[in-house]
Amino acid sequence: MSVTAAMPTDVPRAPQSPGAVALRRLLRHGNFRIGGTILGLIILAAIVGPWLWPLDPASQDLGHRLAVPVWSAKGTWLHPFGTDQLGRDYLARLLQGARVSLTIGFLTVLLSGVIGTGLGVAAGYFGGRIDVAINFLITIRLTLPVVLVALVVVAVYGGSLPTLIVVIGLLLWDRFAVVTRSATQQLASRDFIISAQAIGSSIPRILFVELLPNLIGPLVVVATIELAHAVLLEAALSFLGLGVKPPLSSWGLMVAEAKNQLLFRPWMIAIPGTPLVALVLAINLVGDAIRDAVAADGRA
Amino acid sequence: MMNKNIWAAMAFAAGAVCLAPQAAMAGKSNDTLTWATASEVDTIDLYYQNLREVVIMAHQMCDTLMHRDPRTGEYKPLLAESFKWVDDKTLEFKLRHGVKFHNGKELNAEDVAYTFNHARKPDSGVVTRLLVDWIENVEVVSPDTVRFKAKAPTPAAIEYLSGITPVYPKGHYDNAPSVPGAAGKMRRDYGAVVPMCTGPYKVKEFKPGSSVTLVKNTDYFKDSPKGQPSIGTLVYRTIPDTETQVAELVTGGLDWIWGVPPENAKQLASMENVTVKAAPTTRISFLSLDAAGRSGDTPMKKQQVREAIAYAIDRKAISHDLVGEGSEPLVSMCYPAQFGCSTDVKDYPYNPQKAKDLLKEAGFPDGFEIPLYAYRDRPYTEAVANYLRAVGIKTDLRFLQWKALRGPLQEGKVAMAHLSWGSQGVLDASASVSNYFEGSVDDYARDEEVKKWLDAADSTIDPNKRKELYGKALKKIADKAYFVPLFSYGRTYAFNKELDIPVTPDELAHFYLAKWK
Repeated sequence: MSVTAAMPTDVPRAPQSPGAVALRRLLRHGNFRIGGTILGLIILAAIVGPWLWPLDPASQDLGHRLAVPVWSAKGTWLHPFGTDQLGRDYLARLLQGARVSLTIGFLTVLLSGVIGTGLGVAAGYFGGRIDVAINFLITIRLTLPVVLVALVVVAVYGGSLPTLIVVIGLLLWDRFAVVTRSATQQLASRDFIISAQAIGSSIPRILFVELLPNLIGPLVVVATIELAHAVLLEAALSFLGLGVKPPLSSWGLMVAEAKNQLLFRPWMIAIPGTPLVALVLAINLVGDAIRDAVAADGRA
Repeated sequence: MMNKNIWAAMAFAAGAVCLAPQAAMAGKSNDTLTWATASEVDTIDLYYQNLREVVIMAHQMCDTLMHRDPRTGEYKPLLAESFKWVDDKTLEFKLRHGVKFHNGKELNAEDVAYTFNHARKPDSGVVTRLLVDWIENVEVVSPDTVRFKAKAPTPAAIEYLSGITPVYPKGHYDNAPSVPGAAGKMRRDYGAVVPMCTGPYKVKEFKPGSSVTLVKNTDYFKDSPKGQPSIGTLVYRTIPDTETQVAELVTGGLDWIWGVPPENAKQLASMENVTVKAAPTTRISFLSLDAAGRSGDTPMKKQQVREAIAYAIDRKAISHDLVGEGSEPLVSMCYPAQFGCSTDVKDYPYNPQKAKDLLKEAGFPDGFEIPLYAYRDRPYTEAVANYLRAVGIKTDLRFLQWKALRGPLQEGKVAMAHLSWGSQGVLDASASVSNYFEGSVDDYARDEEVKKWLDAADSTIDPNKRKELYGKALKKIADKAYFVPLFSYGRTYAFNKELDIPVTPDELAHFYLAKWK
């Protein structure tokens, strides 16, 4: 892991910090360049898009329903991507959908990351009964089908943005826990931890200062996988009509609403579908590249 | 590591994937008319399933005492030869001779009495109580004469006995299976018995949830006002995805579909082998508002708030631009073609400013938040919600299946709901306005005066008196803005160009009138 990368090498150049080594590797990585560019563009669009294209994504105009996009013969720049079935601007809804998808993605990963890492580190470091208890929790969590549980909870409590974030966040922590647990177990017997224990460091100090920084690599990899997972899960729930509440937009919801237009207006599915595929692909490419970069000897 | 992602992706894709089309036998060359809708049909007995598809099937398989000609609206005796009102509460039918059930048995008065005496029983489990609840008893007078005794004068009786109350042979339900019911008790599942009727088509095969095959009844009685069936076989199939239905229609796997979205009608009509026609239906869309405060102290109790809601919604735009051909904006709480449905009531033209002013008067200058329940046609509900949001009423949309909404709605827990009601196709205001304002579980106004007028209107024989009473009730409902009527539904039908079939304003398909060109 990154501990090995921290060892000074006998390369004649000045020694570099492990972070700098990883970053250098990352920037050279082809997958990172492609994935990072796409991800960057989508994040940029989500942040500045609604300012550059200030039409209200919720304002309806029933007289101008299902307007065609600008590239077809009758399209206008008034609605570059056309309008939806209630005459709402499709581009504005797409940009709002990007915000929703990314917000849900990042916040759920933050939530599940904190839960999963906390449990994993505790299980790996303390071992014994705590490990047994946490393993039990992880096993229970793994037996629950994610989509089904999310569907039931959202159907009972209603789907709103905060509910979705909490529900998805509470469901996707298992991989964080499994990965940090085994990584912590390996690190716990290492010399630098034993030394820290020997000089009487407090447990919080050992966990937060010695242990956690060495887990960043695997955590970032897991985070990218779960980010893609959360984005898809939100899209699936929205597609089934249990995701974000109207008038809020989401890419999954846009695909669902366009389903009945597949035959005569295929662009209505392609417009939200393409960035959704691109986003998930980009996150996976970036995750792949990070894994290669933080592994000591190229591919682990 | 990636398998969970893939699973989520698959779940996402699953909804979008169309079902693989089955090998279909449709069209003129096979003399087989195949029609499809999205509903899953679990029973084809109209008394036990009031899905529109089953109403259509019943019109092909079964006959009723009376018949309303779908093209002219005229009432004609069908299984009956003639009828007369003996007194205000007694209706006597003389039966037609030589009518045979599909099993060869001849129809007589015993069969009619058996069918209605079974259906009228409170524990018969019949789903549309309105159609049979008026009957006190049915008596056999002679082998070809029956008398219906009504509980109260029932001017709409002839309407209830037309098309939607099929006659079965005596003993029809004797072999109904017993199934476990509520509270561990066994109950009879009458709906499981395949209907035995006298109609122009007979049941050949019924696969619950997927298909129904009917074949021509070559023994159908000659002078039926329904005429003689022409097409040999009718096949019904359930196809949940409307896009798949359209694709099959275009490629010849289907001959008839309905519910084509208005925005696709033009494109579909341009296909060389498809005819597209729209027609009005009796289904009305409206907002149910809890004026009586059954669900607690909500803003709906204030008349200004209810008026504000009525002014906030552009029902003309929803009706014309969103619902499309066949749909009309409504002003009163009934379908205008229904007897007694007065449209001479207070209108609330679209006026968002006035709505805002009224909200301010009511003490809600910044609007308020309220859950909005709905179960049908989500885009229509979203359009309504957007209009309300524009004047400051933020709705929390709770879109449920009808089965899930019915409970809370009838228990009085829903302050605001976007509902629709088809009146079972009955062209009498007793089937619409009375359903919601006569103190039933669906009544959220609980206005004693309105209830009194409607009770009287439902049980008065004199047509002019009835009109006056319904008019009074509808006027007060509009003045108080108890409910907000929105629009009537239209239906767009698309069918094989080689098919000659009348498109009628009753949300039905009369396949017994269809011919190949």
